[in-house]
Amino acid sequence: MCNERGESEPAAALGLPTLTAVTAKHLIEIRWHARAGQGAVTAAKIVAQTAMREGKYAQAFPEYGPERSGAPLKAYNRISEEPIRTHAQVRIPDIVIVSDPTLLRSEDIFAGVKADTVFLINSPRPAYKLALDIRSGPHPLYAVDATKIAFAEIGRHFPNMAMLGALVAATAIVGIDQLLLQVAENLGDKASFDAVQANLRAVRRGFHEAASAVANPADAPASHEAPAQPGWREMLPGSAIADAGNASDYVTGGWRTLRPRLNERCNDCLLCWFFCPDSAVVLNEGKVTGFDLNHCKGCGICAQVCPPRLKAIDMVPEGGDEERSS
Amino acid sequence: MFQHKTATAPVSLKKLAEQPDLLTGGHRLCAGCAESAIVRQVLMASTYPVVAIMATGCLEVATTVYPATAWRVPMLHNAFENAAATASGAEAAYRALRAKGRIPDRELRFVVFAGDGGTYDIGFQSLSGALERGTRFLYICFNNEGYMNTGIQRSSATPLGADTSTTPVGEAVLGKPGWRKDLTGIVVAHNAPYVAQTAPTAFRPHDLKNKVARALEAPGPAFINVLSACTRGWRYEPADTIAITQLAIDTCYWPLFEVIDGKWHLNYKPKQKRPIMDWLSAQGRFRHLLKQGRLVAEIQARIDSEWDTLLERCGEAPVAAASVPPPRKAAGASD
Ligand code: SF4
Ligand code: SF4
Repeated sequence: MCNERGESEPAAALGLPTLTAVTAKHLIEIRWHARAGQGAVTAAKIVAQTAMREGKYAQAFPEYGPERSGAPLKAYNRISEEPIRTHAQVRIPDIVIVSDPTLLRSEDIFAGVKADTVFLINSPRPAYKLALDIRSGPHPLYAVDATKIAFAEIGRHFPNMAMLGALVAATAIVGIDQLLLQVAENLGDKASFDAVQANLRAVRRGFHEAASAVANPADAPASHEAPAQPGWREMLPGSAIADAGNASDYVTGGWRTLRPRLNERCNDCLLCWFFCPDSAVVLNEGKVTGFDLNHCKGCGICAQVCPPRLKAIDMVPEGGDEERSS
Repeated sequence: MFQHKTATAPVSLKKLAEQPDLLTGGHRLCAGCAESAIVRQVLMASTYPVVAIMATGCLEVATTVYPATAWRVPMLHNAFENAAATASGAEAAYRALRAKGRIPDRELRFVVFAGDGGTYDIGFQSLSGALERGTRFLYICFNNEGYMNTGIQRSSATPLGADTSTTPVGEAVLGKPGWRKDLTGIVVAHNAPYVAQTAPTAFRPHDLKNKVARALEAPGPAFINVLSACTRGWRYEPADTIAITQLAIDTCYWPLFEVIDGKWHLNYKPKQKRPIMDWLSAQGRFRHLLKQGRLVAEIQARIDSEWDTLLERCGEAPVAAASVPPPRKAAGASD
């Protein structure tokens, strides 16, 4: 293994030079990939507050969007020694944090990254395996099983406390002591003494348990451009959208934790089709043939409205989800 | 005056399924949101091409995330407070252009989709204006009883006792202090030719779409107030969206009725009215009421008296009438 300059030294392979590379920059930009409701926005806020505590300038904000509980979301941080003038979304991140492993499949985590962008991923898998698996190439990659830590310490799926600790371990972007103080301060008003202690333990474990790896740099991810948004010259007057129904290109199937499965009792009454909020019950010649898993959000309404005497739809846990079940 | 077509045979679901879906998947409403299910049914029910107009709200932000849209019909969004005025303008322009022969001569229908925030409160003046002018349009209010899009604040549709972020439950306050506004009644008072109340429910799957079909025949403004369950704001499991609506109907919290040319018709009379507690206890937003016997009794009394008034208006006997066929058990409501 060697780094992108072709030097083969163990420290480079562990991603350590990047630590200095990151902290030496005067503006550091972070992109969080998370699911709504798991505390990522709070975590991003804590990073910014800790940086401010250390006398730096900082921003924390989620991507404004109507995505709801369980839906993938992005949040951003900027940290700088100097006042920060930009307030736009982060397009070219220095650090990418993925705090839910199921997002590796649905989100473009490589969008806009540079060769030295650091990845920090919540995963039960060893960092080197993960790096090979997601083809992170030359990128320094850190893995931590934040879900396990969250359940062990906090008792619910709130992985972002451990991610905070791991972030400090990976990048030294703020000091761990200041971070712990800030976490205690933020939670102090709302949570009990025990709950605060549990969160602090999760932060510390994330700090100690983050492990790093750099995969084969030759195995670089395909180049990913930051997603293009139409500029004002391309936009139609009045923000008109000419392509009716183009939302169907957007995949909401990643929101699902349960998937509907049809059994042989179905008598094609079509109630499920009629009440599905996501137009995801697929018909052919007036018969139910299956579900559009690109759009089905797994709400379970179809199974509920199916007549009780038939119960022709079962909601089954998402299969093949080795990241989550291991 | 237009024909009262309550008796027409419902179009079967099989028949409806022959047409393409006019709202695509890939919109970003919460899993289990009733709103998109309602929109699909409204669009299916129309035999005319539809122009949709939206107020600001969950439906609007989630179905039109620029540069994408889930709508396969023309859709117009202007602002929070003026969906009805926008529809008025669009309808007048369409009529004028059609009369001048500048656009193809065909029947269209203008349908507004707005939440309770955009209808009961912020869009109220524009709705009242359009009703008074006699704009020929159908106004669908998705009543999820609060400003859910911005974080569950109370609206004037929020029921007594509901926990919202602006009526938080504490020692002094037990959720929203006042009764909800009777907007359906206020619209009736505008003398609109068609006004109805409904909700998507599996035990009367045709109710909503039949009302839409009738409303689209009205010679003037038509208004349908649709109870739209909100999993986040009401706090229940997403799978129960349709089943929970049935509780609202069976407790007479949200009766199904229509007012055609000022004449009231009850569409469904539960054989046995369920206690309001069944409705309250199914939702997290009312959890604190479970130990508030006196307040629950107050709510029950008010529901009872509103139900009696409705029966009277509809010319129905106050006791359960045998002429009503027993309701089919709600799909899934039992477990
Ligand atoms: S689970 Fe929900 S989104 Fe999926 S098919 Fe059933 S009703 Fe539609
Ligand atoms: S509701 Fe049940 S029986 Fe009816 S079509 Fe759907 S799966 Fe089949």
